[in-house]
Amino acid sequence: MSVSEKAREVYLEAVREIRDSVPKIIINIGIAVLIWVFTKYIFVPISLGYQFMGIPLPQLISLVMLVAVAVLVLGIIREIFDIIDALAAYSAYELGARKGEVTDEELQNYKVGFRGIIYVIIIVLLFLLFKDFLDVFHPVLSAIVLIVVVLWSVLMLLRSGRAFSRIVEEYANEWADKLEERAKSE
Amino acid sequence: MKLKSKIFIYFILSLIPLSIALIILKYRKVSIKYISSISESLNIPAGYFIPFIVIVLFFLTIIFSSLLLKTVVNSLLLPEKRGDKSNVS
Repeated sequence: MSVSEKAREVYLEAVREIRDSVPKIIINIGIAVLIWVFTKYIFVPISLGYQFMGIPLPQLISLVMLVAVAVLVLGIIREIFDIIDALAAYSAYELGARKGEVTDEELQNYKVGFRGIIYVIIIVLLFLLFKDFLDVFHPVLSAIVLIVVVLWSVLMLLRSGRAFSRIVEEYANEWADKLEERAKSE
Repeated sequence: MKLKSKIFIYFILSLIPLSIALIILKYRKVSIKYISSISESLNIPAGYFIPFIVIVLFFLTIIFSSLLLKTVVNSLLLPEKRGDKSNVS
């Protein structure tokens, strides 16, 4: 299989994957947001001051919400993994050093770069979503989670930055080669 | 079941527990008094009955609103699949 044929296959697979995953992600995000809104603004205020079998009801409802949203988020993350890979393949095909041709190394760099940025966005959004409910259990819990999130985000962004710098390096090499060839022919 | 009637049933089923929860939220004292009198007439302690009602309303709202959203989004975003199914039947 030639490089351009392989690139075309990667491109088609990416488009197919995006078409398949986007509806599932929209449904799961919608359901998670719905559960979060109902819990935060309706059911936690209603349940204030009540206990169920010795457990404070707001904590019990928050726990149920956390489990439900965690299950949905796992589904969303699984689909997002597929979309990121597809997006990376699409970008490599459209924006690559040689348009319409994709090398394995280039594809890998795009994947690492995109994954890092999207993971950080997802984790930050999840933290914002769960922060109030972590506070219900213990205020220190959200502070500890925040520190872990910040450290992890820095590491991930550094990793994706390195991947993008490799892509830029490849672009620059390609450009320099072209200039050199032009200079030789003249 | 037709898609429209399915959406309508899920909408009503999610609206009923949600509206009960909203009424309890808005008129807390009165509704707690009513629920307590119901629990007394059923010979169930109010301390168990009220949390039980809240948890049941919570689960019903979540389940039916999720089903509603899933059906609506599927019908909007996957018209091809729907078309295929209707052709087969």
